Amino acid sequence: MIFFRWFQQNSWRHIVGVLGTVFAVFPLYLVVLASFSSNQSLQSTSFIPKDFVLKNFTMLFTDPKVPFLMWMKNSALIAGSVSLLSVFIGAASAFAFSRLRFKGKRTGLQALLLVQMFPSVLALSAIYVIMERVFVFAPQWGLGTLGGLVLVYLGGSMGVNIWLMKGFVDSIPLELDEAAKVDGASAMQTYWQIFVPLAMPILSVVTLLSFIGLFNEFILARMFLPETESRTVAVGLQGFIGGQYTANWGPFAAGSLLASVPIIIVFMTLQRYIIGGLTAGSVKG
Amino acid sequence: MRIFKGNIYAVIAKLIFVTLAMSILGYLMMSAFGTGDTNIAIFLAVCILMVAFAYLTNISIPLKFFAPGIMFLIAFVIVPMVFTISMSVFKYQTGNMLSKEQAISTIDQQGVIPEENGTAYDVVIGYYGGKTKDIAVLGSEEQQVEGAAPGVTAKFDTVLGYLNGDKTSLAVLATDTWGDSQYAYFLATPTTFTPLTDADVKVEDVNSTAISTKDFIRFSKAELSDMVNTIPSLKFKYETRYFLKLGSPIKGFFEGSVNQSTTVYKYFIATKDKFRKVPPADVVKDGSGIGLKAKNFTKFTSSQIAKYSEQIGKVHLAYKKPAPYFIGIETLPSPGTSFAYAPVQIKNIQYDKKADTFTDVTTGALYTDDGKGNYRNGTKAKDFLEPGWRQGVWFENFTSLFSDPRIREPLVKVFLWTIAFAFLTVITQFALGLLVAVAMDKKIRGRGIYRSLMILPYAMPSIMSILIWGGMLDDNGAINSILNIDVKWLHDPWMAKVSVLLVNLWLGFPYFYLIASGALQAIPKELSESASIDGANPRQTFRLITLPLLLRMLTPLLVASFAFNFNNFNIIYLLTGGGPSFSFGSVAGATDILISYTYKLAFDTTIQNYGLASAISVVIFIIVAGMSMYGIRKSKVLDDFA
Repeated sequence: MIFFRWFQQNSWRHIVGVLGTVFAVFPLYLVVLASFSSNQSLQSTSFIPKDFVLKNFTMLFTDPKVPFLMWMKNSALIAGSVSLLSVFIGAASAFAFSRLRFKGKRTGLQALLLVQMFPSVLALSAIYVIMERVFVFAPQWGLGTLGGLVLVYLGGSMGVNIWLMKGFVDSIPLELDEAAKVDGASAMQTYWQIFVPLAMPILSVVTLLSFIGLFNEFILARMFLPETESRTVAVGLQGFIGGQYTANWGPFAAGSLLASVPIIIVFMTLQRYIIGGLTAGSVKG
Repeated sequence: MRIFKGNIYAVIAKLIFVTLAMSILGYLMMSAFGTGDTNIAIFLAVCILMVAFAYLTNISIPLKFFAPGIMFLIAFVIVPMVFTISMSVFKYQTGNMLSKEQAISTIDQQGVIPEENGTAYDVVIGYYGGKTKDIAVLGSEEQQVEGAAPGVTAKFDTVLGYLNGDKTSLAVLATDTWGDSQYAYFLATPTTFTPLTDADVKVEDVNSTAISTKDFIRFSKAELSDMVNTIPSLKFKYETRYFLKLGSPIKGFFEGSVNQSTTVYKYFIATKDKFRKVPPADVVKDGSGIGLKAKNFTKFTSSQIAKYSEQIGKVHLAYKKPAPYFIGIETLPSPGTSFAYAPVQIKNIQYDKKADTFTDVTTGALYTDDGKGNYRNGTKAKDFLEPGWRQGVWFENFTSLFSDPRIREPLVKVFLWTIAFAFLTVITQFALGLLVAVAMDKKIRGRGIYRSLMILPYAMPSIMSILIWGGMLDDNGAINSILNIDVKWLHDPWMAKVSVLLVNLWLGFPYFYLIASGALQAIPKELSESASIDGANPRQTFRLITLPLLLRMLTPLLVASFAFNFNNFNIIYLLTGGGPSFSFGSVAGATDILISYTYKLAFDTTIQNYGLASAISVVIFIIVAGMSMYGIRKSKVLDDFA
């Protein structure tokens, strides 16, 4: 009877926990397995590792045809600069939407929301045409350059980030900036001296979420940066398995592992803050 | 009005930033203007004005905060969006990608056929007179002149006959009566030459002239007299470059004399308006007699050819026959050679600017603007000129979504699956997430570990996870081999749907787990406590108190998740590519959702239909915007400015 009660109270929780954990972890376990395996497929017939080799990892760093470090650097550079810049630019707009009173505020917010909902997949072709032209007069910012992709991403991340940050800003008590106003501060001074220091933790989380989102972007990056040297890590690794006849799962698994681990670590460390961000309406892609 | 206020450092920082931004924008504007990208230049000019207005005056405070965001939003979101929407009212697909002007000039360029005889010249490209724009070619026209071969004195006595009983395969049997050549006897047809020996032939006694050999039958006198007119023009093969001609018959024998065919050249210079014959004396020739230079004609250097290659490729030069004949330059000289290949062509498609029609000179067919983006011969379905152009068709793309069964049928299936996919995804993710959240809503041993491991799928970059799942679910993938089963996870229409949902469940349940456990903690404990005091068991408490509260709290997120999955391009495109296809050659497949179908329609097929894809995008937009607006009304996000 006691056991039954214990089961009713706790043990089903453990069953759910164990099953959920197995479901969540086993694909990742297979990735780890594949990355240390000499087999080039994801065809492993058991969960127990047969061999343990490092050649998939060494290949990523030594094969001149696989500039893995370049890809990582590109991804870090693109996602890093876009997430920082877009938060820098977006925070100002979010502050204005949250705190300033002006004509067209409602329309502006609604328009921003609508624009965000437009299925942007087709916009690819217009972006392509625009950046192709930009390449003609400003080769360092046009199609095929990291700088160009940064510009395009900046445009794309504006809407999401402004909405996300507006939610945060709304939660910062109004009293503080009203006090600043009473003391004679301008809107700009309130923004820089009161709001930005207060919102720093929030802004960091949004930057991180934005970084992860950009890290996952595939279609635009693939179209924009076709050169092997300039690919992002997602596009570059996809090349191992995207071929019609060959799939090199070994190096792919090793590369995904190396690319994911830093993100997983950061995510796990900051999960308490990130979850706060999630409930404010972000949906991870 | 004060222009600057605030402390001196802030002002200096601001001035530096504004100057920097304006000079970068200004530089870009000037270069855009320089390359003729006027639209972009104007946009940048407006940006400069906006920066100046926002930061150097105090007229609009909010603009100070919005200016940079607005610029990026307009350039990379609004403009592409407007472009997509506007393209939905155009016929814009493979074969109709250009503007009408471009299409006309392309048709005009391509509307040529080779001359009937296939005449072509090796020419030197250059210019006539003193101006490089007067593109001209120096051509050498080959002519064969036949005559007695100098230095060859041998003459043969021959008989004319035929081989293998076929009277059309003419042959001569020749005898070197005087011993002038190295061949005592030989048999020659127009294309073959076979030396013979004494043993091969039967000779006539009188002067040992051969009269027959194997397979050879001599023509009778009557047959020869029928052929009397054609005999002088017959040629039979002899040694290389030489051939044998027959003279008049003597007693049934012909005197065969050795002739030579020599190539001589006539020269011409063709310009756009004139075909000029050039006397050989004015021409500098190469070893084989082909003209290299001529009076009044200057050869282009290879760098000039590279510079003018576009004009050279398009030029129509006069030919000796009047228009529509012309000489075109098809291939430029390859490096190290002087000659370009220039065939004579006929311009058979003529554009009439006034009537806006094309005429086919050869067939006389008249092609008129059919109002649908092509020049068409009457109403014939297949007889139109390529390429067409983007033609405004109003709402034809939208109506075809409903009226054309070839579009409607896949679209309906894709639409229903999109709804089902988004709905089932949200339900399964939420159900599993909630189950886990409820299970973990008590301080059990190991909760921290469970939690960390279970949110791993969410922490892992989703693009990697999707690709890995794709490999595991492959026919020879890990799932099949570990479980020792043979399930077509990705290639059976129904299993593919299950796979997509399964992978999406894996990706998304941790998210709902996280937010559901947050929400569970936010529900005041007093509620469930008072329920249990009133005698409700835990299940009843959950069903009647917790769940309704939870649903109310999470509805906006569920709706947002539905809207997100409605357009969840990555999982479909990277996992199944939308496949398996409904039928061979069909663009849409069993797991395609609207957004992936749209993408494939616009970019991934051989016949890319951008106009139709844009129309579908607009429809998706309306649906998603409607749903989200509803969700947001519910969640009262817009209340504070309503």
